[in-house]
Amino acid sequence: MASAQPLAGAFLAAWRGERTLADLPALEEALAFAVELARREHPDSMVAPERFAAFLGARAEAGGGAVAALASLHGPDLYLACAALAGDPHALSHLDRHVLARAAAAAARVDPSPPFVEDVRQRLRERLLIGPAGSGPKLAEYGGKGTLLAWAKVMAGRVALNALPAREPELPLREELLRASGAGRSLESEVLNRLQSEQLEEAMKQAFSALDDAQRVLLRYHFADGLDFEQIAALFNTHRSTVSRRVAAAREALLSGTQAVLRERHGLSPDEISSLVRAAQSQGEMSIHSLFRTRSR
Amino acid sequence: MCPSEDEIAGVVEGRLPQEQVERIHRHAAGCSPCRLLLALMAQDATPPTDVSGTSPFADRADDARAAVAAPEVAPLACIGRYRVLEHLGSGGMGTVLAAYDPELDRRIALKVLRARPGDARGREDLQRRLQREAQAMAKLAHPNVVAVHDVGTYAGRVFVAMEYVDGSNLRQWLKAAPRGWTEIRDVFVQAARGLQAAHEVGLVHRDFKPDNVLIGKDGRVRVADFGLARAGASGPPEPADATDPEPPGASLSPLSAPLTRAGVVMGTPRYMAPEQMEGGASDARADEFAFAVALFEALFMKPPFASDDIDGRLRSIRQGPPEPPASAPPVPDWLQQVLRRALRFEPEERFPSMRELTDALQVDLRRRGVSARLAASVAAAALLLAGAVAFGLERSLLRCRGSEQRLAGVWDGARRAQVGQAFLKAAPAELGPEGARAQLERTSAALDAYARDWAAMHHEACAAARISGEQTEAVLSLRMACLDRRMRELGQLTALLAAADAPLVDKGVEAALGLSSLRTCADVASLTGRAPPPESPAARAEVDRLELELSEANAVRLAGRFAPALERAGSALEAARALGYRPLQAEALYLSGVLQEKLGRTGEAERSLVEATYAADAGRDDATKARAASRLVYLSSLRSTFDRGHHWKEVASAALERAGPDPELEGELLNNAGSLALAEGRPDGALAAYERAAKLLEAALGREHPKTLNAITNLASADVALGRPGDAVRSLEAAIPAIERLRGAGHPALISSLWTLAQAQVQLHRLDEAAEAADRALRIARERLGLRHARVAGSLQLQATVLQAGGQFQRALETYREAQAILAGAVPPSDPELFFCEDGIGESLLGLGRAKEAVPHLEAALKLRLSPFPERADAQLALSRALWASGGDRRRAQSLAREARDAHAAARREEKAREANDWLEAHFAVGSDAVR
Repeated sequence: MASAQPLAGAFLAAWRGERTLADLPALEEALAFAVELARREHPDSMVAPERFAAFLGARAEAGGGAVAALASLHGPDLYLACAALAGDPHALSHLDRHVLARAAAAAARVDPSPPFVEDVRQRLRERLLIGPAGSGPKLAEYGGKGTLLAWAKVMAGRVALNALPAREPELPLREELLRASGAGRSLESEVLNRLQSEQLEEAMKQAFSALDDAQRVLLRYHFADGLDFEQIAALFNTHRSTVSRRVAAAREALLSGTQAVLRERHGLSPDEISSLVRAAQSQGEMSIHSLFRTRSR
Repeated sequence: MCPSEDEIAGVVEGRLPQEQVERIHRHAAGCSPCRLLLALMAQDATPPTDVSGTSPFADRADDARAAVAAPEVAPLACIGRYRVLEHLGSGGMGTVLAAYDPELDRRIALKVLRARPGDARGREDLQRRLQREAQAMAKLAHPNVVAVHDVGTYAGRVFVAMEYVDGSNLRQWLKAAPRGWTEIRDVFVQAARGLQAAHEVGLVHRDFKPDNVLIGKDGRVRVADFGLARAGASGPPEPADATDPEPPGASLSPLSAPLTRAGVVMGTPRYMAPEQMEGGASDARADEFAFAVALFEALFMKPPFASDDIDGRLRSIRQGPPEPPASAPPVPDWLQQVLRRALRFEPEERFPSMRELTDALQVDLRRRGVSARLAASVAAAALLLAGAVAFGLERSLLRCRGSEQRLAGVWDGARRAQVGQAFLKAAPAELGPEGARAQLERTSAALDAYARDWAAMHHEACAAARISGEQTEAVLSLRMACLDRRMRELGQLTALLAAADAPLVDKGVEAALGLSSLRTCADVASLTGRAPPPESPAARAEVDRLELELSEANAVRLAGRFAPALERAGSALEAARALGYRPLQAEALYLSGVLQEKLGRTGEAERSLVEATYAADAGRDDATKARAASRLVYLSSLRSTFDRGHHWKEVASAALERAGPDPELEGELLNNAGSLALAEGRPDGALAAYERAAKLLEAALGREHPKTLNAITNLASADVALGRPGDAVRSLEAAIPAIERLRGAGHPALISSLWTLAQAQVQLHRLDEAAEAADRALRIARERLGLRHARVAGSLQLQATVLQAGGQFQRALETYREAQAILAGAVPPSDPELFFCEDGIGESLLGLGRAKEAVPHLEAALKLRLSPFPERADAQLALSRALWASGGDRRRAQSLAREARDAHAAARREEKAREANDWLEAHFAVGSDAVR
């Protein structure tokens, strides 16, 4: 059996799923196809087909049939990873030029200076091919369910963000609040005296932490991280209009929550609240640092 | 625990189950490193439109390097309804910020004018004045003028919200590389058009200089900051009409160059007209002067007038511009003449308006005997054909008119006449002249509709970018390139139709209706979502060439010339591989796969299509990925690889979900999923899929479209498989006349519907109607496809089925044998189609009481159909009977009958299941089969 279907044998030996003998010819055919496809993509990198089959087997999903599990893997990318891990010089050079370079370039959004990008690339090389002591090269963890490039970009993003001093971009929510509630009321100095703007901030902080996780993360993506609806929609696997609705709802919840806190804690009337808001607005502070920073980490 | 790299990549790639996605985001709510990573990845995956790699992260990096001082306005602050993203620069006039407009979800530039001393009333005046100008500017909406969206105040300062131009200013552009005079002239002509358009609505710029001319990455030139020079100036309230002479001092720009009569020169008022310097009245001709100074400088790399002090400068202007330095780059004499006139001291001696100056700048184009307009439209056509945005090309003449004229030579009167002649000449004799004309009319109508839609969309795309400014030039060029590919496909198809042979006459309507969807050319998200083409112009041109080549190959496919189409797709694929541009590879692979399938090379087809999904994945082309995966679903039904079929169905729907709603593609996928379910022996699943497919396709394409009608026919065949002949007949009685209207009464496309109709009528025991349908199918197949075509065999089988149902076993037997003889010559010996012949022969023999002879035929039949098809169960029961009657293996007979009964029961064919059970009970000990 092993000699008749060498690839299937190697695959199954490494696979965690349940094997059925009936699969063998189909699996052998599928593996041979995977090898052919991968070699077409990476003609210079050589990996023994059995070795590659075992590599695939170790990464294929355990549930369901072996052939279906194989079909959902990104074969050519895994082939490259397999060859690079085996030290194949062509694979290493291809990985470096086409994958790591582009992944590191994604980190340029964090800091576009060439030394920074180069540094990210160097750290990526170390991480993927050497790895932290005791755990081996990270590249072995690439599972082939998505593209290697996407996976490497995430790695690069982690590396790049780690290299920066930790800082949480603050939420400019106060402006949102001011904008939303600043309908024309005259300033009442009495109210201003009773309540300082820290109290407003405090109320907002409270209202924010009372939101659910999904709303908080949505507001942060949009207001602190500067993602537009399209980008958030891609992250949530949904449509832009859905995101726009959800952001609006979360903002609404925050604003009404803040007003509720002001009402309950400080006994302000709706009129007083909008006066307060206007008062704070007239002070002209545009950015409140450290707002919500306590929530991070 | 933080999500793994694989999970985060999965979120970005959109391949994780929704619940897992939600869980990761909930985690990110409390874990800022993960959230920032996700945000970073999201920005990488879908960069905001019209922005070159900027993000709030850039601010953090600045902090980290402590290299850039904090901008005046903190990022993420709100100014009016706008959210500040980034500090772009500060100048004499104030601060320029990149900002985001959440209401319109777009990026804009915000110019916050420098705070200046003055009371609230002064500010209000200023704002009112700017407001008025903004309104004028909004009316202007010219491609060579930066659009102004809004004017407001914030913290006591006036801000102007305007179009965000991704690119450089003219000064930077001139510095970036040595530029020849024609290149410089072309850019200045665009700027001149912007000035001219503003002048025509009564706006004078008054501070024209290279820094105020922006050149977008798309190559379009726009003039910015109209009227802002005065806006920054302190002075008495503005007169109502901007062209009115102004009181002395009002026109000076103290921001860029405070200048006094005392002879003290501050800064460089190098572009200012003498009348402006003297503080006198100034009008559009002052802009002309400034424009000419800038052009002189650009051409000769030296300013025309020395400017030590105001009097000296006025003196040198009076003397006229100097001769160009000997070292200066060559500039034709006529152009120097133009400059000299525009730089005259007296406004009256200059060109009367920007229009004359603009024309004079292009006089060489006319002198060569080519009118400027023609030259520009030729250039524009070349631009369209190349699908590229050429730098410095005269673009403003590329107007949003004449979309129909672009179809000249593609689908016009001459081409129509050629197609008409070809159709009448080549039409199959059976069709007759009437039939040929009808076929021609239907085909022409479909082509007309496509051409009309094309022209409408071409106009709409142009207007969206040029007139309403809803879309950017970059988007326009993507849309135009897409439309260009469609035009090429249409042109290739009409060329083939103009040389049509008989089969193509029959295929004409289907081919015309099968032309690639125009809708996709309006789908901005997917056009911009694909991986961008390579940077180098040569590679880009090659990409464009190959895209067009693929469009042509697709037209060749539509015409039914599969082998030559595959050859072209194959060579395009080679070239695409060499280029390494993934979306192109995906398209070439997809087309190759489709063609290989058509040519019966299903193994190769599968490989191509699988590879197409990989390439589409890498190239971020969800639509192509969905199409390829959908095709793989169908292929899996042909190849009986059902597991894989299900996998591809999931892949296709995920890709489709990501690509955004596309009812046509979704309908096709469901249709293929139906075929998969039917092949697997799950007619109920097939029915549900076909039903939705038919609905979606009808909504997307209309009822009388081959794809819709195909889904309806499929739906009917699922009804037949489920033993619901009444429903099938109802669907088909609507579908068959529609097919006749669409394709002609004798069209081969009717055959499969007629088969299904015959089967349904047999189930209803309406044998006359069944025979009629089968006879008609046979007649069409023989007349139009030839006597030995596989469809003739299929029609014979149906005829035989009807005969058999009517108890005419001898005639049924002969007819089945005739069908088998034809089929044996047309398909490989293992083809599942042969099942029906063997089964039919066996059952007919059984009907004739020749059970022993029937056995080998039924055995052969069962070897041909391994999947749990309803007919397989019928054949099993027949074999069981034959074995029993001929004294064969009784245990086997029993187990076959049980299998048949169970298969029918599992598929809820109660009547058949009961029949099998009755037979079991009658022939085998009751109770012995109670347990499986």
